[in-house]
Amino acid sequence: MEIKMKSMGRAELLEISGRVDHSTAPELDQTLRKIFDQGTHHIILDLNGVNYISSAGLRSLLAARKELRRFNRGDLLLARVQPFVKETLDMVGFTPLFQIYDSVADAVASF
Amino acid sequence: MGRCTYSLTVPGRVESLPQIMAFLADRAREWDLETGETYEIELVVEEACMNIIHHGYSEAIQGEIHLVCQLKGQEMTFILEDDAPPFDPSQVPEPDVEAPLEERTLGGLGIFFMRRIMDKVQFEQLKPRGNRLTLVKHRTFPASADPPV
Repeated sequence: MEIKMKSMGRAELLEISGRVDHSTAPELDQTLRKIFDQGTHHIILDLNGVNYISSAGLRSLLAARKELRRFNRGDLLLARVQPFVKETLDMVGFTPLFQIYDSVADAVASF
Repeated sequence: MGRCTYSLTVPGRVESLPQIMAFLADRAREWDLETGETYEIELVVEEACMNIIHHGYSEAIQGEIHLVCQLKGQEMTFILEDDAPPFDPSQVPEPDVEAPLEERTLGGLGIFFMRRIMDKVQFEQLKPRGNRLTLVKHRTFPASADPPV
């Protein structure tokens, strides 16, 4: 898994690629934690390059969104989710829990 | 198609996961699996391994994971054995996949994936110790044939 961070003005964009599994999800957790600690509460995850996610990755997404939604501080949006990853989100009922955008631009505009 | 059986034994630690996934990727190539089938099998076997690593083994109880992959006709079988204390799947609560964000937890998701994706999921306690998990998935169409329209 690789994570590239970009500031989009209103939000921090994380371009994630590769596999988000039990081996790699801790790195995503650490990156998100660092962003929270810097006071950034508007985050977009660009999942265009993610071809696999397991429960560890789902746990990371859920924990991050819960943290950001607490006290309405901010939000975590998903963009460009690939079909098999989307199927996994659907299977565990995550799709209604997240705002999912077809493009990063749409996600940025929603903040 | 003949019977093809492969096995792998690794330490029951999270560091073994890339080796397990590479082993599965090799089977997927040899068995000419579709991308979706490969994804599902990797997901289910990863969750099964992590259940063993997180809930079976611990600092005090360490052991190995023995994985057998078998293709017989259209039937794929994955058998995972460990040396961990007895595992009772009935003690794992079913996840509520319709709960709102604030109430959502992810316990039991590994077994949930197994039951949703595989055609057969069987847990057995071994004597004198250890557990065996058998996962079976029937391929929906032969790799050599065109997919259904």
